Amino acid sequence: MTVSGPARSPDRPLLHLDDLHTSFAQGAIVAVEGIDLRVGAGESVGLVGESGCGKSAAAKSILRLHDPRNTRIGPGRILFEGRDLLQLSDEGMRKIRGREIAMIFQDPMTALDPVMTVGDQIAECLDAHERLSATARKARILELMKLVGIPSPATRMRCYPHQFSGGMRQRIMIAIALSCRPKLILADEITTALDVTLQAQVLELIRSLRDSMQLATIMITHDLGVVAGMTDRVYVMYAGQIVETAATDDLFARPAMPYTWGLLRSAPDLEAPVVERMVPIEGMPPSLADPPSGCRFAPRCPYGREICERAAPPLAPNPVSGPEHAARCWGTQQVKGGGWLIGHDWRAPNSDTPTSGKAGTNA
Amino acid sequence: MTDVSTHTPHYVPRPRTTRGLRSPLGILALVLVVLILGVAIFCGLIAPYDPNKQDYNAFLEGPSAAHWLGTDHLGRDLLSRLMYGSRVALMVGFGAVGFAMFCGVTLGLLAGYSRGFLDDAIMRVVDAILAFPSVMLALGIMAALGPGLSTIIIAIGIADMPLFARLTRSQVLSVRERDFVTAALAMGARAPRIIIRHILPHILGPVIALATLQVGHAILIEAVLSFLGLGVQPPTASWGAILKSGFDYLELAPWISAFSGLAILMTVLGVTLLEDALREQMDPKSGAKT
Amino acid sequence: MPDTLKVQEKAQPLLKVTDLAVRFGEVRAVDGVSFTIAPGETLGLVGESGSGKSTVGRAILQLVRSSGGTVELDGTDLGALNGERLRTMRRKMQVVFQDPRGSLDPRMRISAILAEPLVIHGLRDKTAMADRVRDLMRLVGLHDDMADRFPHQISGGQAQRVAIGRALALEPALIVADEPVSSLDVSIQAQVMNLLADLRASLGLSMLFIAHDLAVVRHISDRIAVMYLGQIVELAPRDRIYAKPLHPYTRSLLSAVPVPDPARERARKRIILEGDPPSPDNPPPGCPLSSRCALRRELGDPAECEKRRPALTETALGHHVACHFARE
Repeated sequence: MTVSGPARSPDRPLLHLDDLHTSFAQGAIVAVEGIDLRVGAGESVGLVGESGCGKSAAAKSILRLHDPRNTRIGPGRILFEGRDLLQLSDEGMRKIRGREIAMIFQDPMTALDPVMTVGDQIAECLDAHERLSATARKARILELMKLVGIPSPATRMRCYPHQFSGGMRQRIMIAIALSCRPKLILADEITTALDVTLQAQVLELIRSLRDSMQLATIMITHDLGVVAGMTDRVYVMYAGQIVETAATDDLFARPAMPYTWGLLRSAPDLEAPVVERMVPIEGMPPSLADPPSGCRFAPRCPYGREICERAAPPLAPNPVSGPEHAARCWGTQQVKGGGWLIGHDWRAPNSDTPTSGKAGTNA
Repeated sequence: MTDVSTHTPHYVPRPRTTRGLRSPLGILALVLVVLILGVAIFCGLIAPYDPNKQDYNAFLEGPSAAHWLGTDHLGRDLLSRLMYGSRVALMVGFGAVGFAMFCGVTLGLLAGYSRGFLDDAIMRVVDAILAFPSVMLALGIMAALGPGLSTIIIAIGIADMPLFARLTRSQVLSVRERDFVTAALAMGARAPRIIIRHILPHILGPVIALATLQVGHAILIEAVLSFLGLGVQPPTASWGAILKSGFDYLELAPWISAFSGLAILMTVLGVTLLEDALREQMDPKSGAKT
Repeated sequence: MPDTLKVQEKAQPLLKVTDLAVRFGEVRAVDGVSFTIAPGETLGLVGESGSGKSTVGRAILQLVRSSGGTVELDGTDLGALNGERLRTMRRKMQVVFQDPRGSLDPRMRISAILAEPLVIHGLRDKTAMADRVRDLMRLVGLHDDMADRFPHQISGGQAQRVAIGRALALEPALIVADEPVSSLDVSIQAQVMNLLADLRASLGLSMLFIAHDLAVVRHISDRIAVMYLGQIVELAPRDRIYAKPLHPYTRSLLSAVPVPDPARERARKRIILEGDPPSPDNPPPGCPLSSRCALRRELGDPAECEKRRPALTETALGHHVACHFARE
């Protein structure tokens, strides 16, 4: 998939993570292992997975936010508008941060500086990238605060973060992210720390801003409900790898592989009938310091066969959907010993016999 | 009921680093402290002379083959006196800090756990003691109690106690808000059990770090008190007293003050560096992070 | 639903909370809360941050002092007890916290954590203790060889199993579960929820299950109470509250939870609550929701809402709602 030189123009992505690897602790922990992810201009992409699957590590790699002393980003490329961000100097990277790509963090409580007024914090990114007169700077702050729906901005800009509620703080974080008119926003679990009613407000705000400003977004989340409502395409991550990717509608309509099924089954759905027992994914994600040698989901997979533990499956197109829908699962691939899950109805009870006694219980 | 896997998902051992006791400074600290402890314990065996024996042929003599560090104005071997002086220094250092730690931690636990009236009462007293400079306070107590090794230990201990009480109280206040303490309370645990089993172990790290630091401080105060003539009484060898006696002969025999000062410096440096290294070593970062 | 109602009317309640109030200085964290829990029943207590739901749990456990009202467990007024008698009553009610690792002493091994309640309540026999610890580990689905580990060496889901095991050690009648799965991944949440459901069925436990949204409590609760700003605004049998929510706040809570299906998610109508909840140290004099209420706006802002605080009244069998205007 790597394209050298100018890419095919109609769908040349805004951002392209090309076989990106990120490892910690002198390479002992590979948090991101060869992910390939594209975001088109103005497109909204979801990156879903459980905690520790590497989704945040991938996002932080894009902006090079990890501690450089124990993190290695690469091999791989991070192409932003065709330029490889990994080749940039620290100063070159600084110019990208905030102005081209901005990030919104999970916890608005800790991501804001408690001893700085919110007005100054909103302007911090402007100060770093543009030279504005005092009046122009103030006008921009007020405009941004109005944009994200903070009432009476002229007085509120002189307040400190603790004087705002959780929902308002997350709005301020969004205003900071928007301040330099970036082309891409990385939203890392932005609603996890919020109450549901505030979450609904914030998601609504992001949705309207995205449409009016032509922003591309990567929504990093563990919540399939957020993915369903907020994204055009989805990447599902598991143990450092992308295990399934598809257009959002396609993924929910025809999820291809058992990990995605597991996520969908365990996601709370208020409109579904009440069941006495919920359907968990048994066991736990593997340690990234020592992942299983075959398919990484095999130890927890109730559909596994002999091939799964023997060899690691590639991310290959799902024969049922179009070529844009790919899954990392032998059950969906027409190879010798594989393909037994093609056309399987994921809602049906599992009639397949597990390979070993491990599956079915908690690994 | 399902069975849960035994492997551990996000637990990754911390990579080996050269921090704490394994760092160069940590090793230096260990060497210094072990050396001084060794000298203090074995000075009866390794000291070349009796510390109080006078050599009438050698007054204020410079370093020589017979007297490696020279002699003082009474002809006593300086090396032997410094070696025996380490006993006094360490007894005072550890004794006073032990006393301060015991009293301070007890008061701090009571104050922090009770919060209410008892807390206010204890902390007012502690603040009052803290208001005096520790040397002045120890000086006052020594003046009242009269000189002597045990009174030095008590005096320095009282002067140091408020630091331990304050540190302990602040630590208790934060630990007692943690869920596992509430959980123990909800189980019906009595206060002594909660304090000893669940709070004390969590505050010991910083307390021990402070204690190590204060050992050096206590040794210094003892030297100051002896220098002022209120400390250990002659002829017992004390570094502060030796330093002081050297002052009278600074031009004739500068080595007396120089070597005794060096002994104090090395000891204080040793325990201070050790504190640094220990604090790094005991940093309770478990590496279990998701 | 009918079954639940029958149980509740026949049996004497295990827990009876009457007009409970808790104040922290000027802040009215809990303001006149009443409910009962029957033996074997699970009540879901739902509210967002600042609603006072956790404080209700802590006040029941006598971990915070209430400023009014009573908490009766098995007919005993817990507020009137102190010292030794309260300590013995604590055996009957146990707690599971939100942060599984935070609620386990990081310096104790799993076996010691599980044995602690037994030690506190006077079990001395070493073999009996070891047997009981092993039974507890099996009960909550932990492998025997985890006994020697420390809390930081196990996963969040396993830590929550340990916390549940510890809560069960004294065979309590009531468990207060304060957001026990909120910090876990969804796939692990379902494991722990199933464990709780199984234990409830096999041990006949009563449970107060505290949660911050209506999604998690749905499968485990017999009845659900919704709190807003220190008060219960709606209390109804489980199936009723999801099918026919009456209070405008409950409705917006239900509509705010996203659904994992793009087609339905796009079609859903959200009732978005405007602004932030008012501060509990200065609550509105009338209905706590009056400043943000969608129903009130629809009705043309009647003055009634700001003047008088609506009482929690029964509108249908077992369905209580505190609103001047909410009707089926």
